[in-house]
Amino acid sequence: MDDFEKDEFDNENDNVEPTDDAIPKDEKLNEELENLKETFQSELDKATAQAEAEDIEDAKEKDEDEEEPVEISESDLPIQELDEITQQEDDEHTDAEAPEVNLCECCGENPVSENFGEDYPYCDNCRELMKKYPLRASGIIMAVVMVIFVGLTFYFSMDYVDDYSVLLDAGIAYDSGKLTTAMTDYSTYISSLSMNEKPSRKVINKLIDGYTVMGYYGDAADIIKDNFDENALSKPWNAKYQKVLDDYTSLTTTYYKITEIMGDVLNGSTDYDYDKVMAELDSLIGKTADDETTTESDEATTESAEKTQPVVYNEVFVEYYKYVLMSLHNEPLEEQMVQLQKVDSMDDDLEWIYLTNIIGVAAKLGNTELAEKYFNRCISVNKEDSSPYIAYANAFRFTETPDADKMIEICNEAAANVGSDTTYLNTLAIAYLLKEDGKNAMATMEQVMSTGSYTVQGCNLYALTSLYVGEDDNYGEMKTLLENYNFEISKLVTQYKNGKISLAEVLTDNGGDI
Amino acid sequence: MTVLYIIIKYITFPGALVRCMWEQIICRICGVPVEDNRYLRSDEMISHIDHELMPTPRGSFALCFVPAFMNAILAALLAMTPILNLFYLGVGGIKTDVVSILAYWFACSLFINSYPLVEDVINMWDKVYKHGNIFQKIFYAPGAFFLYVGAYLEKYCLTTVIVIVCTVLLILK
Repeated sequence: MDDFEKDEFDNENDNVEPTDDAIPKDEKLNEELENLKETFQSELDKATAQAEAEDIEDAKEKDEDEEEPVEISESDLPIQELDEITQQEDDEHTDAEAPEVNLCECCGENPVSENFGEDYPYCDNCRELMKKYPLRASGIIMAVVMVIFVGLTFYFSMDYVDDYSVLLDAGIAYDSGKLTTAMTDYSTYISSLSMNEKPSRKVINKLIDGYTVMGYYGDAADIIKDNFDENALSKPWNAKYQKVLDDYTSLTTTYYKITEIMGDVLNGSTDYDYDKVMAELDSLIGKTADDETTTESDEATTESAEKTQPVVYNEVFVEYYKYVLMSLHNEPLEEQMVQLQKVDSMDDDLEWIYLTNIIGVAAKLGNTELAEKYFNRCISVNKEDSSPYIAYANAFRFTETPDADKMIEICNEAAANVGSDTTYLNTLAIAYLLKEDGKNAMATMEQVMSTGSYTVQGCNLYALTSLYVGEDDNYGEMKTLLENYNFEISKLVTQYKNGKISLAEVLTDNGGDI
Repeated sequence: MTVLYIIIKYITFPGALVRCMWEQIICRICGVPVEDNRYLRSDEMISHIDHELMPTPRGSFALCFVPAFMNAILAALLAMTPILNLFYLGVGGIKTDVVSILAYWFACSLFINSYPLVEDVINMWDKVYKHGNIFQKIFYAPGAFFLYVGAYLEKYCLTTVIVIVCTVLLILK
C-alpha cells in the first residue's frame, strides 16, 4: 500500500466514530474465535497423540512379527527415471480406460462379431460353421424308418385288397342297418380265410353284435368258440364274449325247460290247464337250472358256464313265453299287449324276440300309432327283416276302413330293403285285393309261386286271388297241392268260393288268418 | 405343463426327431445358424432345434410350414392303412396288426410334433405381416393362421388331446 492509500485508509478510520454497541460485539467475536482456536487445538493434540500411540503399537506389532528387521537403505529403493515413471503411469491409465474385448462363446478365441448386434455371442467364423451344423443321425434314421413303415403298411395291405372290398360292403350294410347282408358278407370273409388265419377282433365284434341283435345266439357262440379258447375267454378284456356265451347258455337252458313245461301247448294241443302252465312258467323266474335240464347237445355250450356258476333261467324269455301262452289261449289282445310291454320294459338285449309281436298285437288292436312306434324300433335294428313290415302293414288292414294304399307303400318299402326275403309279397297281394285290384294281386301271387317256396297261407291266398280274378282252375290246383301234403284248403276260401262270405270278410275278419 | 410337455415329447420321440430334422434342413437351406442341434433335451426346446431367428418373411414361413407339412404328409401316409385295418374294416392277423399299431403310433407322434415353436410362429407373423409384401401376406395367410393356432395347441399339449380323442372315437365307431 503506498503512502497515499494508507493515508486515505487512516482518514476513513478516523472519520468513523465507534458506537457503544460495536465495541462489545468485536470483543465477543474475538472471544469466540479464541475459544474455537483452543478447542480445535485441543482436539488436534488429542488426535495427534492418539495417532502417535497407534503408530507405536503398530511398530511394536511389526517388530514382534519380523524377527530380523530389514533395514531399507536408499540404495535398495528402485531408482527410476522420471520418464519411466511417466510412461508407466500412462500405460496403467491406458489399461484402465480400454474396453474389454468379448470372446466368442463357441470357440473362446476370436472376438465376437459386431455385425449382428451388441450382444451377439459368436464370432464370424463360428457363425459360418453353425450354418453347416451336420444333421443328427437319429433324425435321419427315424425318417427312414417311417418311410419304410409307410411301405410296409401298404405292402401288407396289398394282400387284403379283396377282403377290403368284402368288408367295406359289409361295413356299409352294417352301418345302414342291413344286418342280413352284413352278416352274410362277414361270414363270406371269414370263410375265405385260411386255416391258420383268424379274423380281427373288429370283424368278430361286428359278427357277434349282429348275430345277437338278430337273435342268432347260436351263430354268435360258434364264432366265439372258433376264435377263443377257454383261457382267452377268462381274460377281462374278453368278458364281452363270455357274456354272450353265458346268455346263450341261459337262453337255451330256459328254452328247453319251457318246451318241457308247455310242449303240448306249442304242438297245438288244446287240452292243457292254462293256469297250471302259467304257474309253472312263473316258478322259473329267479331260479337256476338243474343239471338234468341240460341236454346232451347243450352240454358243450354250457360247460364253461357251469364251472363258474349255475345257469339262471332267463326271465325275459320266460315272460315272453307267458305272452305266447296267452296268445295261444286267445286271451284278450289288451292283456297280451300289457304282457309284451312288460317284457319290453325288462331288457333291451332280446328285442328280437318280442318287438314284432308287439307290432302284430297293436295291428290287431287297430292301433297304428303304437304299431308305427315299434316298427321304427324294429327297422332301426335290421331293415332287412320282413316281419316288421308285414306286421306294420297289417295294422292298416285291421282298421275300421282298411288303408290298402298305405299297406302297398309299406310293402314297397320292404321290397326296397329286404332283398331276397319275399314273405312280404303275400301282404302286398292282400293289399291289392283290398283295393280290388285283381290284376296286380294275381301278378304278385304268381311272383310268390314262382319262387317255389310254397306255404299253406301262400297256397290259400293264391287260390283266393285266382277265384277273385275268375281263374278257378288254380283253386283246384292249390287244393290238390295242399292235400298232397296232408293239408286242407282254408274254409274261408271255400266259403268265399261258395259265395257265403265276401272277400273283405276273408281278408279282415278273424285276425286275417286265411 | 412343461413337465407334461416334455413327457409327451419323449413318448412321441419318433415324430420329434423327424420334425427337428426338417427344421434343421430348412435352417441349412436358408443359411440360418443353428446354435444347438440336440433333438431331444429335457427343456421346453425339446423337439425343436435352437437356431437364430429367420430374417426374411419367406424363410420364417418356410421354417414353420415345411416341417409341419412334411410331418402331416408322413402322418397321413402312415395312418391310412392302420385306421382302415384297426378301426374300420378289421382286416388282417397279428402280423398286420403289429405293423398297423406301430405305424399308427408313428403317425400320431408325427402329428403331435408337427407344429412349430411359438417363438418361431411369432417371428413368422412379424416378418410376414410387418415386413412382407402384399402377395406374401395374402398367400401365406391360411398357413400362417393354421400354424399360429397349432403352435399354441402344441404348447399346451392340446394336439395330444386331439389325437387321443380321435383315437377313442375311432375305437368306439
